[in-house]
Amino acid sequence: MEIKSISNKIFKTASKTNENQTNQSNHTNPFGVNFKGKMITADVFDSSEKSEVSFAGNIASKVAGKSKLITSTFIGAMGNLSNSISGTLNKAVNTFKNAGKSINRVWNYLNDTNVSISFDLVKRSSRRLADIYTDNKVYNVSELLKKNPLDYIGPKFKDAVAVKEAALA
Amino acid sequence: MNNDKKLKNIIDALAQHQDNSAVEVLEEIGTNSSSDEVRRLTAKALIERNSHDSLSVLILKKGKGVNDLSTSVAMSTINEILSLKDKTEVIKVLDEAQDSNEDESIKETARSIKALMAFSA
Repeated sequence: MEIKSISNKIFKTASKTNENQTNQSNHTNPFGVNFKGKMITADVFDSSEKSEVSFAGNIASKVAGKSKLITSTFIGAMGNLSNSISGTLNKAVNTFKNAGKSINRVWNYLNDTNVSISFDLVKRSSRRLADIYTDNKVYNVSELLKKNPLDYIGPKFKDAVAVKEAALA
Repeated sequence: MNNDKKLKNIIDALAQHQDNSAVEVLEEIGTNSSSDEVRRLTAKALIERNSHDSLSVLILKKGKGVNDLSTSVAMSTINEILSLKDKTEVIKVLDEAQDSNEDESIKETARSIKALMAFSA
């Protein structure tokens, strides 16, 4: 008996029993296993191709998952940062608003209040300032050194001594 | 500027002034003042000038400088004399006070100062 004829006999039985079997690829069911006369379809068996696909997919999904985690962390941090920045900006804005309100209050007060300036006080104050400036200049030692002792310094010495003696009296 | 500051500046200027007429101003106005402080500052200024004329006012004249009626002014003047770095002129004036002066108190004071100078040397 030829091997071919033997194999034909074995598989012939299978093909006879499944007359309605369509020309499907038998790589998922090479032995033509059937259940109650019905051919068992490929989805029952684990496909090696599918497992390969899922392995690659697992890696990709793991990477995607990790990157999703990183991304979500980053986005979360950005969100917090933006919240803190906006908080700081709001505080600054409020400070300026309050300053503006204070300035406004002062301005309104000044506009509403009647301010009268005493010119006599201004005159006295400016005269006092002028005296202080003059004294500092006149009684400066280096300035006095340039003057004549008898004609210039003498009279000033006399006046200062008179004031001193008056205070003792 | 208050009066004390003015006084101080005026007296300082007279102590350093190049013109010798400053001695005359110091003697006429300063040594004759009724204020002890003015006389004390004036004596200090005259000692700072360290000239024969200025030291003569303090050592040879009655009631002025080392012969001042106020003990505090007299002692202050003697201290300033003893503190002088260059005592050449003051020794000359002290010798002059001992030799030619008629007033015994002036002579005695000059002698005492010379003795003190010898001890502190």
